[in-house]
Amino acid sequence: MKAGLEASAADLFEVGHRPPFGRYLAEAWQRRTFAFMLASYRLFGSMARNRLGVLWIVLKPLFTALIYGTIFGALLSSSARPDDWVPYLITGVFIFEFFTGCFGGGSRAITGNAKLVQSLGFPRILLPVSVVAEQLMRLVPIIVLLGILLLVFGEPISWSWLLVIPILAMMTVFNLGVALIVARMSVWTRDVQQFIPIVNRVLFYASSIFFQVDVIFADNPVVLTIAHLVPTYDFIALVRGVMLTAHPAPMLAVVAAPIWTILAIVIGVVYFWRAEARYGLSD
Amino acid sequence: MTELLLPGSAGDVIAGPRAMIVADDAHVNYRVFASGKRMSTRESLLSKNALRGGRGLHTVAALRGVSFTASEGETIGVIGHNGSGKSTLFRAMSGLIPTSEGTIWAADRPVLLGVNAALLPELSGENNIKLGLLAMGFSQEEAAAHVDEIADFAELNEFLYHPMRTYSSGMGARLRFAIASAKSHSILLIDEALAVGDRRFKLKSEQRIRGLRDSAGLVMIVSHSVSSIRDTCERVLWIHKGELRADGAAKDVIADYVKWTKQPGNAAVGAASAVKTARPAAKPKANVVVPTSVEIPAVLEEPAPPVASTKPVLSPFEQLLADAAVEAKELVVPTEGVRTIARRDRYRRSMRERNRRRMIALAITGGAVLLAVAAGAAIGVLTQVPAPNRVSGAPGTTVDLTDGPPVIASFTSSAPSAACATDEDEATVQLTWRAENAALIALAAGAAETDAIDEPLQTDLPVLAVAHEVSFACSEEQQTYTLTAEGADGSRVNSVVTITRELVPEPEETEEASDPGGTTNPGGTTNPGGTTNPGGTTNPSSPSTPTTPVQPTTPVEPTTPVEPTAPVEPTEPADPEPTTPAEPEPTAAPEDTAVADPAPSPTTGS
Repeated sequence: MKAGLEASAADLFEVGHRPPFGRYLAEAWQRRTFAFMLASYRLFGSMARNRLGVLWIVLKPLFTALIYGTIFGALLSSSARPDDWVPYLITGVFIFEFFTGCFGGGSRAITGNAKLVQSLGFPRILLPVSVVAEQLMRLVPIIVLLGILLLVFGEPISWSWLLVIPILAMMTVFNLGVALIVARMSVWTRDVQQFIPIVNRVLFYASSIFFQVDVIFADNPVVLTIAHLVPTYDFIALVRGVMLTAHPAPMLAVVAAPIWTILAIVIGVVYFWRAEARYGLSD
Repeated sequence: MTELLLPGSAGDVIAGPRAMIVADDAHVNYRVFASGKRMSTRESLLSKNALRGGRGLHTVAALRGVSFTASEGETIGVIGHNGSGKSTLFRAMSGLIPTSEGTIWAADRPVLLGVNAALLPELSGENNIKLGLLAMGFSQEEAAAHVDEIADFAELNEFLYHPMRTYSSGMGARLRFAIASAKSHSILLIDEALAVGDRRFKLKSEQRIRGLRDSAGLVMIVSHSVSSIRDTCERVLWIHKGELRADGAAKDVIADYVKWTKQPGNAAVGAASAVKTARPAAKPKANVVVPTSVEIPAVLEEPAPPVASTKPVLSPFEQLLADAAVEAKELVVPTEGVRTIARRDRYRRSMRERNRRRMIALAITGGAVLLAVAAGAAIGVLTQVPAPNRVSGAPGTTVDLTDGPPVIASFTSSAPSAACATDEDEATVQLTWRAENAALIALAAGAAETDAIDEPLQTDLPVLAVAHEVSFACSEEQQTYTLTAEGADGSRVNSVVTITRELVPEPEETEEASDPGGTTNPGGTTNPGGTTNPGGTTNPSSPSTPTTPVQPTTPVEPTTPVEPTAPVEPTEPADPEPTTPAEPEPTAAPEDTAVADPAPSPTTGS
């Protein structure tokens, strides 16, 4: 009986097992429009219920910057504050929000779409991809706003601003890797989703957003090196390096950012693909 | 149940030679966090489940070893009662959920057509159609081309552009069916899709399924409508409690199934016993319960006499259901004594579970309260203990008081003598002292030691004073200054300094006398006399106070709190300073004073 089954199964493939890595990526690439359509529909769908609609994409980070600017600028002023305080802060906040969005959204990419996963067969990697794509779409008007604000606060416009595009492309890839990792982890254990705000908080304070890490840890080279290796700091420092004249990116960040990106995307894709068949099991 | 046909052996029903789906001993286990089975109190309290509010990770065996082979050109119906695992089997076959044991092979990716295919409720029907098609592998152009066709089929009209959350359940189901059936597939799994929508749409969808079946290599249908299965399928699988109970020609299996569904209604005892023997042990617990309390539910459930002798014992609601079933030419009797027992058992279990949780919550609350009290007490103790040290550590404040006796740590004069020009003149002396634990400090001047609080020259003085200026009447040869400190408990301590008169004709000398340089002389006359200090008995450290090392430190102390503010400011004026050195001296001088302006506050001390 068993032998008969094996024989008849010769020209069949096994259902419910992950496809080979190459074929998986090819299939995902073939259906990439699904991810981008999902991202754009979701973005506009989420805004449609608000009266101000798409305007909120810009208003939200603006308010965030305003709050942080008030708290850290007026109330908790410190000597580690740079002279061009406002441009320094808003650059950090806007870029960091991009990471937080991908990080939190990635953790809900599979668990929040359990029904979709259980009813339609498609490469699951498209769900985290669509999360990152949505965040990237949100980022575009924010970056335009950032440019305008920098001009308003007297930052001279220069050709180096164009370098923001490759830097943010690199950061997008990094965010995708991180989103893939947390997407699988939160299917395996939901507790990850509780942990993410804590990680965000730690990274927020570790990423030199409202102070200058070089000033604070100037007399402690070991801590300064560790602080320079925080991935979110690296990307923020790179963006500041090309957009603000007074804050060139440290050499370590220039080296570390691409390494982080490659590490995150390779580990993320492989780690996510290995559980491909099991995402439907989440309750 | 006797007709369990192993794959391949049902030669008469397998039409084509090519196998499209082969299931080989497929198991599927779900992991679910749920309030669990009954446990002993110790077990439940000590287990890690208690940490999660009694929720434990439970493995539910939804499929327990299903094997069959389906070949090209077949139409297979799958029947079974609710929760028997039919939908799970379909999901496993389509690869949406993995098998935990065994394998399922397929010639092509099987496509599941389900009414449960949930899309994105926030988005409009049109967007959902596009997304669904893209997810199924359509290209963007193909998807755009199919949108109208699908919308027409689903009969959404103007609702196509409304968000899907506003749809009625029938509209949603229609749309989902329309999307899922838009593509022809070689293996099609249809889950309850025939039951979608109103009668008109039902006919339409049946027609569509027939069309799909003609193009597909294999169609498998799950349905509760036995008649429609009989019409469309030639082979039927009967899934029961996750196992394949029968596999064979449609009319035989359906006849068995119908017979089985009628069975339990005839007599509760018979059904229960039949179930007990016939059912493969799915849940051992349930089976344990069955034989012991079989007859009770029959009585409890329907105390009134049977409605009709030929009909099974039915409640009014179930009667309605049964009538409806008869109307549908199918007698379905859901009444089952076992179920009632199970329900009651479940209710009891949930009550027990709730009680247990309440106990745990109570224990945790009590523990938290105790912990909070303990923490409060600890904080209280900690703040009590170091308090006396803090008084000495905080110079210049008169606030920190404890019940300890007052202590005058030092009491000195800047010079041993006061310089007077004439007898009538009045000179000043600078007194420096530091007291501890004092609520009131007063200073008196006289020929001998007095109680300064009773006859004060000055009262309400600070605990710490540096170079406090007091007048010296030059008419006296010498004058004794008494500093009295009164503690919170009322005890008093005196300390005296005796200053002699020094008649100097030149007025310049007075300056010299008040010069801080004079302080270098810790003259014996300024000794705040350990001999005269009664506090010496209370404070063992007081004999050491006359040794002036204390003295230099005390004047330093007031400067340090002031200093931090001063250095910050000079840094800012320091910036303009390098820019202005080119300016002539006279202008630089006022600037210098401006810089020094904040400085006088520390200099007043010296």
